[in-house]
Amino acid sequence: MKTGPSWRLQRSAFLGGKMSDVRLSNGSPTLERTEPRLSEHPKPSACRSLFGSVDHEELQRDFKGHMRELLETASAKWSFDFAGDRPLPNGRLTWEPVDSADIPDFYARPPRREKDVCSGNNNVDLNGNHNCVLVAPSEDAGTPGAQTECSEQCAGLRKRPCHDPTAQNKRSRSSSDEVSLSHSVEHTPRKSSPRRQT
Amino acid sequence: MEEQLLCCEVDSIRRAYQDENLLNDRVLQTMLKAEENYLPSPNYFKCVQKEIIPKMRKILATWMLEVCEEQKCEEEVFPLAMNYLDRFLSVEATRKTRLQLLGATCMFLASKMKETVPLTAEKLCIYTDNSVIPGELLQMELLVLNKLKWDLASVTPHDFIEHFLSKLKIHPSTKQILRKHAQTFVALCATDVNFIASPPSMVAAGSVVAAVQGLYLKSQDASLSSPNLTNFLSQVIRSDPDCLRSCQEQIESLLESSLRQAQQHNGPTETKRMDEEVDLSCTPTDVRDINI
Repeated sequence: MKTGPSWRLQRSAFLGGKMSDVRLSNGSPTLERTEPRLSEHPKPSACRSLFGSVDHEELQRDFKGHMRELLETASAKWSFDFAGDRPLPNGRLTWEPVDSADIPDFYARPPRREKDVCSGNNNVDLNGNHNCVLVAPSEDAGTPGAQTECSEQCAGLRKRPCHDPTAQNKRSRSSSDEVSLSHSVEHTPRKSSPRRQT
Repeated sequence: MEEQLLCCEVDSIRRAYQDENLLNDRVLQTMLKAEENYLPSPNYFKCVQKEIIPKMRKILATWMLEVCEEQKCEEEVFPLAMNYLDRFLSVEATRKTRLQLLGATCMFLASKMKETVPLTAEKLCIYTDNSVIPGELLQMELLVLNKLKWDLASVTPHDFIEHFLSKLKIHPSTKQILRKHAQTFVALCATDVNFIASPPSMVAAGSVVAAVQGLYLKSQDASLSSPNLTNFLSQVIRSDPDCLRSCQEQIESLLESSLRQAQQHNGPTETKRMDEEVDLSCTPTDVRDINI
């Protein structure tokens, strides 16, 4: 038989109307939760759908609309086409490309994952993202598989030459680690005076 | 799923000690100023929502509290989730059928903000009887974040309780019981639509006064007598004593009506249910039973 966490009070204290009778359910000195979350399975009684069934397709449509809205707002705010990964022409802000080797490692390294980051491609999270950086769609032949890209990401080998964002798809490549073009070039916004030319 | 969730080798939850240095007046003044930025609009049912009525919020809140209690969430998770919910509903007309998804998402966010081991999307979806899937919860999360302008550092009544308790001259063991009761009142208030627009400091002060009253706490210098305490706390929150008194009375009548409802619902089956589910019987926090 399960007992509640140590700090819970007797419900009878309320029901009896005399709060002075309240007593703790057992002798824990702390009144704090000490039991870990993982031991609790959802009880069937608490698992319920409250307001009827959700129209999933309609929900997806609305989410897409919202996302489009959010993206447009962000684009206007930052003068940047996030979907196309390039600055907007005639934007309020000026963007300059920066070699990812010149920026702090923090921005370049893949999100921290549990051990064995590159064990395979079947690690897809709930957003549908892979553990590793996605390879940009490329018309170029000889694109190495995601596996190659992945191990490079992990080793932190993100030294790529600087690219002019206006020259998309015209960049010359000397080695296979430049495949994910759009992911390798970081853009830094600046307002007026360029602090650094690359 | 059952096998996945079962894990026997677990440590107890580790938490930092309460930092006494944070219980000073400067922090309290900052919180009093900050709380105004996180108040939902008081009349969003009329002005913003088309399908959602106060009764639905109550049903949703009761379910959310049940989930938080069952998952042994930290006390602040539920009030915080309700704040996110109200702030979202203040700005975005929402379909009735998506209200539960929103509630689950708010718990998801509040738990991530406050807990070392947060609730998972999968578990929350199970609680919706799988009426939504984790992917939808994550999309909803992004939407909620944007509508709240990514500002999740809401001040809740819970944040004030410790400050108020530190100002009372009472024994530490009494303080723990008082804290528990005050937190229970705060949770109860979060389920009730009449407190949506009340400043968190007011709800917290009202809850502390009501808890002191309910526990018949006394002190030698009469500082815990109802008028004295009300006057004192109303000064602390820079409010009018009459406002605080009416808030306290509102809390007490809410408790009373909740208890009456609970007794009507549970009366005949009470003994049987308590035998069946011991953990239900020892949770008076259990506004979920009280509120159904």
